[in-house]
Parts: sequence; structure tokens; C-alpha cells
Amino acid sequence: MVIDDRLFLPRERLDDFIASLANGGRRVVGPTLDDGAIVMADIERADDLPAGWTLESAPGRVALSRLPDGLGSRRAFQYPVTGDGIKQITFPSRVDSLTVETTPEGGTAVRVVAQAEAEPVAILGARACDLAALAVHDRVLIEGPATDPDYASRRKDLLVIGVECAVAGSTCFCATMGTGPEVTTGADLVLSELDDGFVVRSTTVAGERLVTGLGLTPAKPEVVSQADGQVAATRAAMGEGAIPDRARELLLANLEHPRWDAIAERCVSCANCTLVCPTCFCTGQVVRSGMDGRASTSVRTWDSCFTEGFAQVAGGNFRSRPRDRYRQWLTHKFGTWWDQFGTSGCVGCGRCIAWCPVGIDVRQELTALANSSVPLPDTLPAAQSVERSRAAGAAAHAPVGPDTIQLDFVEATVTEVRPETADTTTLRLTTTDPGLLRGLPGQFVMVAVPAFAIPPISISRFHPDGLELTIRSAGAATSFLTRLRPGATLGLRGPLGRPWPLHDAEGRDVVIVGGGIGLAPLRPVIDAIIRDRDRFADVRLYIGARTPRDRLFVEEIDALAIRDDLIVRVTVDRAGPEWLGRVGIVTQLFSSVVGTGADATAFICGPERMMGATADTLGDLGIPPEHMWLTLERRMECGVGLCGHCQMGSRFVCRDGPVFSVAELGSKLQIEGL
Amino acid sequence: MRNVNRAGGEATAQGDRASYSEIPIFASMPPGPRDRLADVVTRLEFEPGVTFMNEGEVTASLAVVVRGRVGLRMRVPERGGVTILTLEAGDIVGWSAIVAPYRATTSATTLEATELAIVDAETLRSLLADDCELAAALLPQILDTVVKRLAATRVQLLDLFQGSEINAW
Amino acid sequence: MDVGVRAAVAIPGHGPAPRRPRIGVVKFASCDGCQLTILDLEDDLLEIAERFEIVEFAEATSRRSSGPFDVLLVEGSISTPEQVVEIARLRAEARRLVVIGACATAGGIQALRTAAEHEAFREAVYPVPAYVDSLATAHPVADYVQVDAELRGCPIDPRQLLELLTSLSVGRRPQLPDQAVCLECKRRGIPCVVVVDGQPCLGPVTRTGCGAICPAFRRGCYGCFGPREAANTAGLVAAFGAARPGVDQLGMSAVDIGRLFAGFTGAAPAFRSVTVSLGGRPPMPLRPTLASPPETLVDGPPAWGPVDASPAHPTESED
Repeated sequence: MVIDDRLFLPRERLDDFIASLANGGRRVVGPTLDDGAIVMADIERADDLPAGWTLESAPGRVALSRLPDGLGSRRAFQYPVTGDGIKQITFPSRVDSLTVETTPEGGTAVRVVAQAEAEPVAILGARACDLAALAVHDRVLIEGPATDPDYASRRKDLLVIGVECAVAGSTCFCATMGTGPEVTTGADLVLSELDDGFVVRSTTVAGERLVTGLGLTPAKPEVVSQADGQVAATRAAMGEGAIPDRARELLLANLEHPRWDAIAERCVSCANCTLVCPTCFCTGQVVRSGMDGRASTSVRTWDSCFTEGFAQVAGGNFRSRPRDRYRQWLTHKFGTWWDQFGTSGCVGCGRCIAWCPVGIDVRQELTALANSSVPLPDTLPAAQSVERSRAAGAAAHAPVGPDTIQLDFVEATVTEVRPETADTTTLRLTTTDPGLLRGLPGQFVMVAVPAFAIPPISISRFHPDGLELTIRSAGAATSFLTRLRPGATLGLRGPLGRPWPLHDAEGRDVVIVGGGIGLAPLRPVIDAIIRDRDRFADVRLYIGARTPRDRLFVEEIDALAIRDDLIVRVTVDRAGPEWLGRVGIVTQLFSSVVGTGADATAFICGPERMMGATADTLGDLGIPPEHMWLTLERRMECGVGLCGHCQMGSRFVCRDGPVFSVAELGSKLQIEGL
Repeated sequence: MRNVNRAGGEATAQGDRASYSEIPIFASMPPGPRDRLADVVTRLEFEPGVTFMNEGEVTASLAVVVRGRVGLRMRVPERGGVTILTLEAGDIVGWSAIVAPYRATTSATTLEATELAIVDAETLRSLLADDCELAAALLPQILDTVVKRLAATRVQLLDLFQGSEINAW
Repeated sequence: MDVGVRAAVAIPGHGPAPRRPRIGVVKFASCDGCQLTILDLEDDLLEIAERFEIVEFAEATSRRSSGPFDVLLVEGSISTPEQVVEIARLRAEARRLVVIGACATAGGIQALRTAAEHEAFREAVYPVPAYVDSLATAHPVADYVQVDAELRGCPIDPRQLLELLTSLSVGRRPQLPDQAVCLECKRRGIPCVVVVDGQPCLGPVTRTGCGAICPAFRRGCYGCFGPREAANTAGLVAAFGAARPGVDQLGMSAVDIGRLFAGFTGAAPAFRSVTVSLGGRPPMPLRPTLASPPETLVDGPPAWGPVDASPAHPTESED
């Protein structure tokens, strides 16, 4: 038997304990009874806790019941997880995240809502799975590259009292996921509830201070062993192996499995699983403004990949079918989360099972997938059991984006407005912000004006004192931006994203292919190449547009076309007889012109289908996939990898891209709805 | 050569076997069939703006663009002639010369000074019927042209560069 | 590229100051509850009156106007021959036509008569049925004219109305999410009534925007906002029809499930098809036409359908 420094808190002193948590003006949050469930809410005394209650959970079912009479009938934590966990405390469903104001002079002041120093909170009754999830959120929301300021402020000084589970629900599988039921991380104090009190273990200085103040006596060895036996029994009751081994490989190898269609028939896409999931972190921005539109607040709001609008962009929807959405969720949770964050996205709390109104059980779905899986290839990186992959994950699949990202918006002033086509306009902006001026070709900015959503816009030129944005009017916000006049002020977050790797083209032939508005992010590449022309071999520029009138930067391109050190080809999809230039898709230009093959680097930007066709054709001509670069469009609400909207497989397009090599993307462009 | 002659092309060479190696479609053929094909090829120079194939009419010849550019156009009464594709050096024009009913599906007009390598349709058809080796070497290349045009047409149909419809709001 | 109706006060440097938009509120077959929601916007009424010229609003003013309207809010379903003519006339006078409420967007409770013998109903209810000139069905406005946006609900949600007016004023797209009620329910931390009580709840297939009122009072959603995007009604029907261990209320009969979907928005196609497939009411007859339709009347429901306002954003509801 281990003699340790655990203390004993008699049940009669629970009120004292809760009062001590409130010291220093802390808000104390703990489990309470509410509308047939046990949920976290503000508590003041032991009577607020659901003493004498337990609950049973099953797929689509959570049922409260009274504890049987007897010695344990006063227990206050005799149930597995609460309905909502602690996510609402550290990551509330709605937070004012950004205020954009029109200043009296007519500019746009952009400021992050002053973080009223988040009120100090003590959480009583966090379970092992809750705390494992908290660690996941720390990884996602604090440890970068970008940090969510609201989460960080709530997380700071959070006092956490963990409780080890004395019972497991039928939906619990923390033992499989390696996260519980023993509380090993994230708590300041850990309680084990016995019939007449609690065995208390402090794990941090704050926890130590707390118990010292209470003057508790050491727990007797037999009491300690009773507590240890209790949690061991919980573990045994749960068992392990709730999900198949190598879940990540299983999911990634079965992206086109018919099981996804079968799930989609039952799944009602209500999004409950994602919102009760303690690790799901996707959010959307809702713009709130007064009727004068002079100031607006972006409200960061829980969102879900199960909604139709989640992957919507101006031109369409990247996940149009419910099966795409379920697949996104499950493959992210158990698969690509490892690639992104070096950890599982599932902590085994089972809330998604219990709170699914149609009773879908992820454990069953994974098992069904495993039972009819294609053979799992060995080539997928880091074949892993859950435990092994935890260690291997971060190193094996490190994200490719920058190390740190600044979230601040800075001001830039419109000095010139240049209409390009009927629906596209270039804004010339000046700014004094050195960060913005350090941007690289291919990077983009998030553009804020009062009362509108904040769209991502790629930078179409850099100047010593500012930059240009070429904007196609595709929605309300972009339409508003194209109607701005000189003197207007914008808020810009950026430059963001992974730039075009110009170094990969040095000394090589360069093939640049731009379609439609896709020419805009390539323009800085062209600028850079012209500036240092002798660092590159043959340079060819292929441009596609819908009609002659839809061509961008016409005079500039005409000027490039007469240079003798560049080959420029422009083609349009359709034209009247007055057009003597080329007609046809851009790939039809290559066969007669490209002869460089393996020595070329390609930069491609346009609609995804066009880029796919271009990459195929250029690949046939011998350009290696690792030297073909393209830039993806996805819905982006934050631009910094926090909102989750732009996920594609294991990557955040905003942060790890938008520029990717064809080799990096592999077959992903071929899979619908990824 | 009725169609071509009417269009006023000027013959520059005929049957010069050696000079065909620069034309991709000939270059990739085995020497035997290539030479037999070259024997019936005429090279013609055209001014810009010459229509040498007319939509709906019998296709007089199959041609390969050696130099210059050719526009394929279709008549759309409401819109005039719509250019649906432009061809450059190495491209084939007039595949309908070997596919019944041997009528051109588009008109073809030179957009700049253009040189074509031309085979008379009937000559080509009888050559293909008699010379299996030549047919085996040439037909896949013509089919490849048709397939690529079909694929490109599909992509054009998708109208990928279309600006998304702007909501009234 | 005209976006919305610009407000009286433009953002400096962002454009000229336009005139005050003219706004009208009219009703067809309805209870006026949605119109009253406008008057419930007490804190904002003054500003609304400042920014919009309210030229027609029978519930609020005796002043009448025939348009034209920059924005016309239309309540109620089309239930009489006169209304068929009137809605076509109003459409012609309105730059933006916004339908408000379950009646205007889905037919409303009066669309239940589709299930019955219309003549028998009339004779049972009215002493002299000949005085009553009504169509055999009640149809949403969008079945007759093009609709630019819709506010759902019975009644509409005041916050959504304010969002609509704000977006009109500012010139942006209104953020009227089309996702399930469940998202709002979960954001509010309301325990799911299906899961804890086994109550049938239409939240998973119903459009959000109400703030999850019914589940907040531990009642299942009865779908007054009508179908959400991509509503998987079959999935929900299967779940309600299946017995669930320990749950008394589920394992519902087909008829009961059909009734569940036959409420205030029961005439909405996604819900009606459930009722019909479960042996409920007969299919809705085709849109009734007049003996001699007016010139302005569109021939059949517009092919472009109602323009849904932005589904692109999740909702925010101030609870």
C-alpha cells in the first residue's frame, strides 16, 4: 500500500470547501440538476449539487434516477460525465470577439473588445475526460500558431477541482482513449468521493494552498485504498478496446466507404454531437451592428461542420452532402486531429453518443467500418495504437504553417480604386504597419469594415508603403468593398498564410497559370520574377478568363506580352468574332508550348477544377508534383486556424496553406466533399 | 481539295518527307507510315482572315497547323460567329474528314498568317482503308485530339470562371 | 450589384447618403401576430421610424399608401381569389418583398384545411357559406410571386426582424441561419428533450431562429419555423418510430409521427411529404387558379423560387 499525502474531506465540510473555492471572488461552477439532466452551473453550497442522484446513459438516452437508500445515498458525484462538461466555462458558446468602428473622421477603427479580465472561476467536478479535453483545447486554442485571446484569458487562473469517476456510463470509453477515469492532468485538486467524504489529492501549488487553508487531516490508508479501488472498478467496468486499433488509418483509408451513406441516412445533421463534444472548437462569426452600421461586433459563436453553410463559399459548397459532413467530423475527431495537433480529438466521454437524438454510436460506426474496411496500407505515416500515436503524432505530421500568427487588425487607407472588370475592383491601400509591408506573394489578409462579415482577400501587389487587393464582388461584404472610395479606411489582419515558394523556382523554368480572379494572388509572383528576372530560366505565363471582358490587369499583361524574356498566353472560354485572341481552356495552351518538363516549377491559381486539370496536364508534360504549387479556396472566418471552417483533411487551408504542392495534396483533390 | 482551293491557300510544298518531322502528329508516327502519309500532304500558306472550312459543308481535307493560329467558329444567329476554340501549331483541324457524314462541325478561319499541312479527305480515307499500319498510327492521334477537345469542352461547360451570382442583398 | 436598401446615414467615405427607404407592412390570411412583433421592438421603434419611411402598416397607423415600396413585409397566406390578385399587384410595387411568419412562408395553420373537404368545412363553420369566397387551400406567398427573403416562425422572432431591418439599413445580407434548432438549443445549454425525456422534438429538422424557446421550457419543438436546410426527416421519423430502451414516449405510431409534422408549417413540402408518406393527409392540390387570371399574375410558382437570405452564418440569439 502506498502511503501518500492524501487528505480527507468529511462530507460535512463540503460547504466549507465550496466556500473556500469562492475565496477571492471566484465564481464557483459545479454540477446541478436541471431539466432532467446534470449540467454545470453556478453553485454556492453543497445543497446545489445533485446529491442522491445518478444517471444512466445509452445511445440517445440520458436518464436520471435516485441513488438507492443506504450509506452512499448522499453522494453528490455518483454519475459519469455531466451533460455539458466544462466547455461553456472556458469556451463559451458566444463571445464578443471583435469590434469594428467608424471613427468620426470616417475611417474604420478596428479593435479587439477589451478583455474585461476574465472573472476568476473555480470548477468543481471536472472529470478526467473533461480535463483531457481541456488539454486538447489548450493545444488548439493557445499553443499556436495563433492564440484565441478570450480562451487564454479564461484559462488563466482557472481553478479546477477534478473528481474521479466512481461509476461509468454505458457510453463512457475514456479507458480506451487513455484519458481516464483517473484524473492525471489539468486539475489543481483531485477528489475521490466515498460515502462519508472525499479523499483529496493536491496536484498544484494552488491546490495545495486550498487544502492547507482548510486544515484537513490525512486520509487513512484504508480510505485511500477504498478510493483507489473505486476508480479501478470504474475502469474495469468500462473495459478497453471500445474502438478499433489504428482508427486514424482506418478512417483515412476508407474515405469512400459505403458506410458513410448508411450513416447519412440515420444522421439528422442536428450538430448535437459536435456541440456537446468537449474538444470541438469550430466557431463562426456573427456580425451584430446598429442600424446606422457605424460600428459592429463580431460574435464568436459555436458552429458545426454538420451545417450546410459551414463549408459554403461564394461559388458553392465544399461539403454539399450530409455524408461529407459526418465523414468530416469522424475523420477529424479520430484521424486528422493527430496530424494537426499530435493528439486524438476524442477523449472518450461518450457525450456524442448519449446526446445524439437518433442514437448513433461512434464506437459502433468505427467498428462497422473496421469490419468491412479495405486493407489498411502500411504506408500511412505512423501506424499507431491510440497511445503510440499520441507520442508520435506531433512529430510525424507537423503542420506546415508559420510558428506564430498575430491576430491584431491594423488600419490601411484606400488611396486609389481601379475597376478591373464589371465585378472586380482593385483597391490600392497605404499602411504604416511594418508587418503588413513584410507580406510575401500568395499571402492574404482578412478585411474588416463595420457591419459586414470579414472576408479573406489575397494580396495582389506589394508596394513599399502598402499593398493592393483585387476583389471580386461575390457577396455583401466583397460587394461593399468594391464600392469603397479613396479615403476609406479598412482593418486588415495579416499577412496570413503560406506564400508561394519562389525559392523553389529559382534557376528553373517557371510556368504560371492563372484562371479568373486566380490571377490576383499570382500577380505578386510575376512582380517578383520580373524584378529578379535573371534568377529564373524560361518564364511562361498562361491566363484564362471567362470572356475577353473578364480579363484582369489587361494593360499590365499586354505590357508583359511584348517583353522578349517572357512567354504570355491569354485564353478565354468564349468570345465573339471581334476577339482575335485565343479561345479554349487554359490547359489547351500547354501542348504546343511547354517543353520544359522536369526542370520547371509551376504556380497555379484558379477554380479548383481548373487547377486539377492544369496539374494533370502539366504532370503529363513532366513537371514533378512537388514542383507544382496551387492555392486552395475554402471558407475562412478567422484566417488563423482557430475557427475550423477551412479544414481540408489534416490541414487548415488558411494556416497550412492556402498554397500547397500537388504532392502534398495527393489524391485529395479527387475526393468529393473532403 | 475543293474547299481549300476555294479559300485561296497557296501551295508551298508537297510530299517533302524530311520536313514533316517537326510536326508533332507526324513526328510520333513510325517512319514507314509517316513517309506514306507525307507523300499525300500538301503545305499551304494562308493570309489572316481566310475561312478554309465551313460549318455544315463537306469537309474537304484534314489539316495540321504548322504555324500560325486558326479559330473554330460556330454560327449563333443571335450572336454572330462565336469562336469556340483557337488552334495553334501542332493542332489538327478537320477530323470530320474521316468521320461520316464528313461534314464540318465548325467553320475554321485563320487568325494570323498560317501554314497548314493538308491531306485531301478522300485520299486520306482510301489510304486509311488500304494501309492498316498507317491507320493504326494515325487514328489514335486524331482520336486523342477529339477526346481532348471533348474534355476541354466539358470544363468550359462548367463555366468555372463565372462570377457567383450576386445576391440581391 | 445593388445591395440592399441603403440607409439614410451612409458611412462617411463609403458612399453618398440616399433617401429613406419606404417600407410597407401588409397582411393576407393570418392572425396579425407577426405584425405585432414589429410593434414589440419597442426599444428600436424610434430608430426604425427614423431610418425607414413607414408608408403602410395597418396595425400601427391609419395612413394608407399604395406604394411603391422599397421593402414590403407580407404576412399571411393566400387563401381567397382576391388575394391571388392582390399579391401580384403588390409584388409589382415592391422592390423587395419579404414574407413574414409561418402563414406567408408555409401556408400556416389554415393550410390544414387542405386535409379536409373544403365545402364541408365551409358549411360546418359558416351559417351562409355562399358569403364566403375562399380557395380550397391556403398557400405560401412564394407559390404565387417571387419572394426576396423570408422570416420564419409563428410568430416571427423579433431579433430576426431587427436583423432584417438592420441589414436593409446597412446594406448587407441578413444573417438568418437555416440550420437546425439544435444548434441554438445546445448553445444555450438546454438538455435535449429527446434524450432526457424521450419527447419527440422536431428541432433536428426545423430551422433555427426562435432561440429554442420550446426546449427551453422542456417541450419538444413543433416546427413552427418550418424545415431547415437538408432536413433528414426520414432519419428522424425512423428514430421516433423505433422503441428506445427505457423510453416510454418514443416508439411512436406512424399516424402520431405524421401528425407531429402536420402543424403550423405542415404544408411545407419537406414536412408534408412526411405526413403523406405516413398515411396522413392527401397530397396538396395544385395551386388553384382563377377563371381569368390578372395580367400581372405569374404563371405558376416562379422557377427561381424564394430567395433565401444568407444561410452562410450561424445564428446568434440573445437568450
